[in-house]
Amino acid sequence: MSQKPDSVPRARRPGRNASNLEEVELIGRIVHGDMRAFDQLYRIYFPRLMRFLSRMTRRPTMVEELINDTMLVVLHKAGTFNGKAKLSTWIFAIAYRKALKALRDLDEPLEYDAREPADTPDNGPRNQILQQQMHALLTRAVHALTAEHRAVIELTYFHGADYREIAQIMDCPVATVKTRMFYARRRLKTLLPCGAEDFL
Amino acid sequence: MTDQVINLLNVRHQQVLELLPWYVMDALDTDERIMIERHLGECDLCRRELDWQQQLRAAHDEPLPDCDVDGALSRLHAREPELQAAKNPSSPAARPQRRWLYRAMAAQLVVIFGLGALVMLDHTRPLSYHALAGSGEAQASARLVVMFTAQTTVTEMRETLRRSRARIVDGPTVNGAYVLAVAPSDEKRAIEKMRSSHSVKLVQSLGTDASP
Repeated sequence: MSQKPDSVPRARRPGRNASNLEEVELIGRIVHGDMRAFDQLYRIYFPRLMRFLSRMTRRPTMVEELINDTMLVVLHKAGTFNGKAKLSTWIFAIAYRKALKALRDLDEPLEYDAREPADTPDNGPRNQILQQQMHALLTRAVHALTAEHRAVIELTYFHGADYREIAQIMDCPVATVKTRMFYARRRLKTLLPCGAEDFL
Repeated sequence: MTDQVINLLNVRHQQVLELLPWYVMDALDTDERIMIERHLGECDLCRRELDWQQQLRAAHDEPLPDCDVDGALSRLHAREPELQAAKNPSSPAARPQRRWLYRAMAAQLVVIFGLGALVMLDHTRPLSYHALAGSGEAQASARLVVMFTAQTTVTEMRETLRRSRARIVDGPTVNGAYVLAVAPSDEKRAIEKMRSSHSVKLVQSLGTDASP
């Protein structure tokens, strides 16, 4: 049994605070109309927003437009960033709201629907399932979650955000984040084949 | 007393279960970590859940996607008016925008007065009526032919048209194709938008049409 995390996750790696400082400096320059600073910040956030919005919306064709809409808000509202939250939390909160609005416009369900049929994959012999295939299964299972559950999973496991940051991004109480995570985990287990989690 | 202890243990167990995802991500306070580590020493269920959480985290531990940042940034810069509007009004870069605004307002005033004068001079001319679908003034517009995939919903179709700034002027044909009209200046952009949409199977320009 391994109790402690075996490696330092992406968001907590050394140098993260330093890069956060650099990003805040960039915002300061953007406030004064420095478009080079804006381009620099855009390049830093593009891959992370691409990953987050792709996973959250499941619609690759709309992701670039959502990123650009998000970054236009960052440019427009740079002067309102007060440093109370991390810059990444502020930017992801803007992206999250943009994605929710886009999904609402497409009539995408955002919250958990208990009547939603379980898309349970076929069970197969446990020892024949390769790890790579299981990653694909996990991706498919995450895709089957609602947008809000996908956002919590993605922000936690890929972007390394803590539950308080996620509450700020999603503009909801901390208890709601924990509840969403709890139901997302439970649903993920029902969407994976029996015993699949052992092979991930 | 025993019931109280059991209740406390259950509450603690629930708290730990809730926090495990952030424990494996090393995203908890020291107090929370200590509480979890104590509980893990005495709870098989939470240890099993921890293993599953670590596997889940490992499955997400992949590099960021390759993406065309330069292309996306240049397309954002192409949205120049929005960028200009977003700049700080007090910055030097915003001043040309303001001058442009004043010039546009002045031009609008000239047009308004000019139209007013025309109306005054033309009041003796008999009134004429036009059907909504056929105003007498010819406006050039580019025509596109587009075919949507069979799975495309009405909402997606509407969204694609909105993004492309296009409107349907004919169709569906027997093959399920639609003819769209877009402003000539938007034609290239509309074709790109359509081609990037997963709902669109085919899009092609039919050239410019001067009819309304």
